[in-house]
Amino acid sequence: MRSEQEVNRALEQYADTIQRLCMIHLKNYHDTEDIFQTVFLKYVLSSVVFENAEHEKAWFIRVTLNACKDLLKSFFHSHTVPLEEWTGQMEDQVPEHSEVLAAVLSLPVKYRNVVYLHYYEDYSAAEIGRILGKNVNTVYTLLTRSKRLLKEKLGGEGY
Amino acid sequence: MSDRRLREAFDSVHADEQIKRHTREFLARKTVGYRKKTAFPYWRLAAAMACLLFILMGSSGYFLFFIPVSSISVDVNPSVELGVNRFDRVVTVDTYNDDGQDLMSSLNVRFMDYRDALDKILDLERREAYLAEDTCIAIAVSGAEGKQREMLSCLHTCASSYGSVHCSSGSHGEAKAAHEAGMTLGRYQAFLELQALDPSVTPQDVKGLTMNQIWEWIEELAGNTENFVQNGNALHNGNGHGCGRHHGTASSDPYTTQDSSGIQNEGETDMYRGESVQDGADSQDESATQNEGACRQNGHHGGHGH
Repeated sequence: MRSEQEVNRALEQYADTIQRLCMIHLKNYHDTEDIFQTVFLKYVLSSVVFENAEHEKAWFIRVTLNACKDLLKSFFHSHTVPLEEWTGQMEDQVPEHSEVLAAVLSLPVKYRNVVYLHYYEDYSAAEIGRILGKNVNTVYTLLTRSKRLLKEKLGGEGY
Repeated sequence: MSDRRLREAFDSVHADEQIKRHTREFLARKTVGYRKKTAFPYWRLAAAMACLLFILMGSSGYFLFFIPVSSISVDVNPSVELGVNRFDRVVTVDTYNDDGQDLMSSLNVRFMDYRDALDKILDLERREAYLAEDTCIAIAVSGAEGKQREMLSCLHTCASSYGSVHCSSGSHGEAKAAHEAGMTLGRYQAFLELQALDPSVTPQDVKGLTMNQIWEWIEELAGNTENFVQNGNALHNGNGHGCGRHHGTASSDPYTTQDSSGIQNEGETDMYRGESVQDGADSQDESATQNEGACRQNGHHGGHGH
């Protein structure tokens, strides 16, 4: 079992990443909290030895995406209506950022992961393929299509 | 920069302190202050134990039920051997000649009580004309000593309504030797007896013969060797087929005969003890009735409806 210090360090280091991944998949705060708890409990109990920081980060991304998927397909989740939409929380943000995030969230689910991993986390198509368990060519296709969709939604400006 | 806006937008998303605090509290609670691993999953242990118990019960049940502890060989001409489990049920059926195979292909006696099974087999043999009035039925039992006697008495009772019965018992070793020679125990014992009189006889010589023919042969040879049977009346009595007499061998335990004394003779197991054969139907019935009585007293049902 990992120590409290390790957990606090990881929480500070990866909380934002997990939050962003939750944002592109989930719609409310309570689901995000559930994911945080699930992911960090796994981390505490896991005996995986990470080779480096990159390995650790990829592990957190993978576990978070799986937890999101599990939550979304759970019976309880699919039969309840969220009290608050995640987009409600974006009201505090700069309008330009809200517009971009809304455009990302409007994409089909399969595009959101690759957009985030490629444009924000700077992963290459091969690395994304490994993390998501997809073929590299599939990732390229998803990237190209998502780029085109975003361009349509946000109207040129370099997309 | 094509992805600048995206990067800035994602950069503006942060996990708030509340969610971090809740996660810390949750983890501290779950790990009891990071002191121990999560609670030992006792339910998993219980499930594993239940599975183990189930497997143990299943396998011991299998061994109790499906493993034969005694075997009964029935020879007329069809040679059939039934493996009987500790609950007196037939669990295996082996045939040792073509007639036996033909017979058993039309009859399923598995999981039947051995008395019912014998009844069915003999009934079919009578219908298939293997069994005539004067045909002798050889029944041999191998298994635990106490069980052998009990089974023999019941089998004798059951079979005596079909014809003359010759009962004997043998050890597991003898049964194994019989199987190695490709014969049932009953036939093998007759063969041993024949071989004692004429060492040149081989298992091949007796394989094609009916039990009546084997015993006729034994009698023929024994008639030539005058001193073979101590109790001389055994050789030339009864129905002339030698069926009623005890064919004692060094290892077999001649047990009962087609006489009116029936099961009450079971204590007398002298070698070569000859008994006179009473071939009449009356004496058969008497024997059957007495034996059946004894069988039922022992807590077994007679199993035949004749």
